[in-house]
Amino acid sequence: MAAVNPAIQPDVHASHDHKPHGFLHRWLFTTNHKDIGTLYLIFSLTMFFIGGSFAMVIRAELFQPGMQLVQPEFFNEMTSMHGLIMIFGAIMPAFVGLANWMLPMMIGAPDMALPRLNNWSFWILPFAFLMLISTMFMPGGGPQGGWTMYPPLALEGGMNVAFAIFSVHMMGISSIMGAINIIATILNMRAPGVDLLRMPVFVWSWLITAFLLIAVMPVLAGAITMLLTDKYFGTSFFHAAGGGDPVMYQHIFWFFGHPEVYIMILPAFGIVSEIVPTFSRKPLFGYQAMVYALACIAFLSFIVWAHHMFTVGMPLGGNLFFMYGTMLIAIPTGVKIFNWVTTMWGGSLTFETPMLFACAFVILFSIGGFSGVSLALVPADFQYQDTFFVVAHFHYVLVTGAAFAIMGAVYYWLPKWSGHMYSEKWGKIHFWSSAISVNLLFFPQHFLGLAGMPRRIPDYNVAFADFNMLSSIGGFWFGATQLIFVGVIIHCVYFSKQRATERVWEGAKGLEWTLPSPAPYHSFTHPPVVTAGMLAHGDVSH
Amino acid sequence: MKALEMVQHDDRPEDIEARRAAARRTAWILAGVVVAIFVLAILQGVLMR
Repeated sequence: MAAVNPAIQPDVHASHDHKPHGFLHRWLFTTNHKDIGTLYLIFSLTMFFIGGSFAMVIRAELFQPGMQLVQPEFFNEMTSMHGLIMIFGAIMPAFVGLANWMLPMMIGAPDMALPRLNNWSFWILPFAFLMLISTMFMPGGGPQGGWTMYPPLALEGGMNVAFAIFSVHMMGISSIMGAINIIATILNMRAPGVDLLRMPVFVWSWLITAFLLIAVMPVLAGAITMLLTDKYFGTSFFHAAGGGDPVMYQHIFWFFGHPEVYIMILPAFGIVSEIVPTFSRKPLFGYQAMVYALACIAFLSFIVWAHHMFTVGMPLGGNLFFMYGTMLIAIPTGVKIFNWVTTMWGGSLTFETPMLFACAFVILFSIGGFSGVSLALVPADFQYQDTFFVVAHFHYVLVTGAAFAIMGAVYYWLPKWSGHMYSEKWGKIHFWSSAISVNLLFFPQHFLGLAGMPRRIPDYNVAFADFNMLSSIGGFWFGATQLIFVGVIIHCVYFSKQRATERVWEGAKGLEWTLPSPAPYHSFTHPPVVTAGMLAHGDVSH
Repeated sequence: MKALEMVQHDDRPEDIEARRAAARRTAWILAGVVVAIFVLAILQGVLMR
């Protein structure tokens, strides 16, 4: 049981002070980590719906065989823009928003270490995405070469190429600045007593994710800068005709791209590691093993990139190295799954909405993990490459993995942010509707892929019709269900009558739960005195 | 175990402004690392083509 810390009492009384007045002053010039976190979360939700609407176009076109609604070029635009927007606009900013809101409160810091950089990191993003989306209204339309922007196909576009590349540069700059801020905050701003191995796992997951971002976002920037110079300045890094090598782009891109996958899943691991102990009313099983597993996964992510390109024709030794390296990732991931289940084992479990999302994460992410191990096998990958099996795999990882963790996190922390409880009934309706529809959406895609249906095509053989129809119905159902999510959030923030307590959840532990709900605008302006029992991990009494 | 004790040792300054100054130094070092990786990525492209 966490006792209320006397050191934080002044913040309680100052909770209604120093909030800037005026819309622009509050939101455009804000340097407050909670405001910036809110901006990130609203932005990512908006992008989730824009990217989701593109997915609806894709599923509508694939509802039946034959050309139904859109031209093939527009279909390619939809797949490319859906990927770019969901990865860089929805998932990543959502995790950064959660980090902004929670990290300072979890480590007892007054704010992020570099608040003005924080403001800049966010406000780059809307302009980057406006620029990206504007390409759809240009002559020739938006990017059609997929989110990976492989040359020479990606360079075939018109003026959209420069706009898309510059917008990805801006997204990268935003991510890098956010990552620098997070590392500087965690390493320097922790309250006395919150040592590294006493930090919540969500903080650890973000520390490791931020180092991944620092390491690989400049590599993406380098790769797309070379694309740009190939297109406009006559270089031939990737032009075979000029002595360049298109496969080199794939190597450089995936050196970024595979760690990027972990950038989108490690914070989800952190979130689940917060939710599961709370609703199991037990400490996290194997805290240090969880931290080391995160670090191990991050390290391995740097040495497996070429499993995305087994079919380009690598030497056998290369194929074997990347195959075994990829399979190794199952070990630390298995440690995490084992520890979450063991945390639940013998616990006093209750299944509020955040816990439902966390349990669904553990089960459904494991399905994505199993199909990932299948894809790691070189001989099998030759069959699976560029089929719907791959689409099913990464959507299980990124939707039922990352997106479910984000939704669970919102339900978990929303009472702390807003000071009100959300509707548990509607939260559960949202969960069950999402869980059923998302499986209807993505599970049949495994069968489509195994039967040989290629990805990124607007038309297909009639043999694939039934599973595609089921998948599309699941897609429309899942998309519509997310309107419930928006409704629950709006109701909680503006209309809910049920006040949230300080600790919100019976089993919650950690510094953030010692603050009042809603969390004061300025929290921990004086470092809290951390006493025994306040932290979820580690014993501060010795 | 020695390494574990080192990361657990809390030697950060008490004063919040001193911590912010240390954070700024961390940020500049990381910014340098980012620039170096970007240059290496391009250099790799030049050398490997």
